[in-house]
Amino acid sequence: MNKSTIIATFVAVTIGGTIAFTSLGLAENDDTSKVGETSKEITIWRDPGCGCCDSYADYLETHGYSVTRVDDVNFDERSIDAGVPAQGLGCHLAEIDGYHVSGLVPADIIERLLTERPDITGITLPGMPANAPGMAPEKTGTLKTYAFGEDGVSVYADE
Amino acid sequence: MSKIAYPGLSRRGFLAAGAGAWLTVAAKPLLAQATAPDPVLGFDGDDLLVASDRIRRYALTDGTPQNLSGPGIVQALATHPDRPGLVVAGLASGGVSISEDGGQTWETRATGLAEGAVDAIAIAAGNPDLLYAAVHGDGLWKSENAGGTWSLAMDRPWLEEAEHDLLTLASVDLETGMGGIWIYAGTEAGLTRVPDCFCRWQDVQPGNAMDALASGETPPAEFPLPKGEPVRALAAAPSAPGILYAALPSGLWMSADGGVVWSHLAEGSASAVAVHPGNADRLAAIMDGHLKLSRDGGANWVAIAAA
Repeated sequence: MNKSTIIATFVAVTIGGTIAFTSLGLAENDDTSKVGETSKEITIWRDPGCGCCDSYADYLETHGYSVTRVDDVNFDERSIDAGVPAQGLGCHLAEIDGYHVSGLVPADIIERLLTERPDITGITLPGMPANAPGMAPEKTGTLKTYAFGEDGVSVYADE
Repeated sequence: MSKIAYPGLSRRGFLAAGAGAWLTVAAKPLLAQATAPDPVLGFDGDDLLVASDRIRRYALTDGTPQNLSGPGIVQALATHPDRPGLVVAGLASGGVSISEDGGQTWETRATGLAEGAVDAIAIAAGNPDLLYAAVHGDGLWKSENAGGTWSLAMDRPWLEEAEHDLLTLASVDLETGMGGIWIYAGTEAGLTRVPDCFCRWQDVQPGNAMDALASGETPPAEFPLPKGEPVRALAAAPSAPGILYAALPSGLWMSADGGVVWSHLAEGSASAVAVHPGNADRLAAIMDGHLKLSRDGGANWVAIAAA
């Protein structure tokens, strides 16, 4: 192989490699956007007097969600009808992409739910813990979220 | 209806009382006049206040009854263990009247408060300047300056497909998990409660019920108050957070765990109850129109009767 051929080959390999690497990178980025893309459309039914529910809706909006807020004084009955255990009602009921989300569930847990897509009806964060988003600007400390569905109740996240 | 009688406390009977009772004398009914609501009760230190269209103060230490000039027809009464002499009254004519001297003198404070009868009153367990008032047909109001000014805190609870007036209120010194404590309320449709940040009215629930469901273990015991009965009066024991007493048509009920499990203390239609500020076993209640006292947590009752 003469010098010019070596150089040409090197250039071709370099250019080809660059193109391939770039293309692979672009494809990888494209795949990432598809895998990580979950619904951001969420509807919240809440007691019109619930201030922390509005704060929670604001929190979700800052995390990129489009929130539809519905006044419903019977949201607790709606929650039970949706399958949320009466012993573990959150302060509102939300629906997103086929799942029910009860209470002040942090955004990263919702993301996980929509990414993992377990065979459950939904998740709930009972009550209104002081360290939950909506009660605080962001989650602090540990929160225990429960899954509920036909198979009963289980701990979905405790972190 | 016959006129309400507030008979005096028998000193002899009082001094003769045994370990299970303060008094051992017969009672006369405290039937209300048509124009006066059922009497309400409150302890101010060791003294018992009985209020309706007038106020009577029983000094239980020596059995001395005292008639006081009330602020009007009183429908609700609240006192506070940290501020002896403070008596807050909800008036049938509207407004809240406050006494700083145990009911001797009164000042009505209603700036900003909605018009309407004040059905229920509570003083925050940890803050005698924080008052709550339930206005008939309106909602729950609060004052952070001892009644100086009022603002709406919460609409009435929506229970069984309807809004319900609050018949009674109690500030219960149990943490909500939200940085505050609970306000319990009795309604015609039963018991409800709201955190003092006023997120929403909600049922009383045992704290670890979901963990029991998740683990498959036996869920914590629950024994709510009987369904379909009005909760006419509530009293929270200042000396023992979590101990609650409730007056219902089916009798007097008691809970030691913040209202998850209730036990039946006494038969008879109960319309009022109060608990001593320093001793959760010392009770006063009106049952079947009789004013009765217990000093053993409701195991034994005796009636205040004419001297």
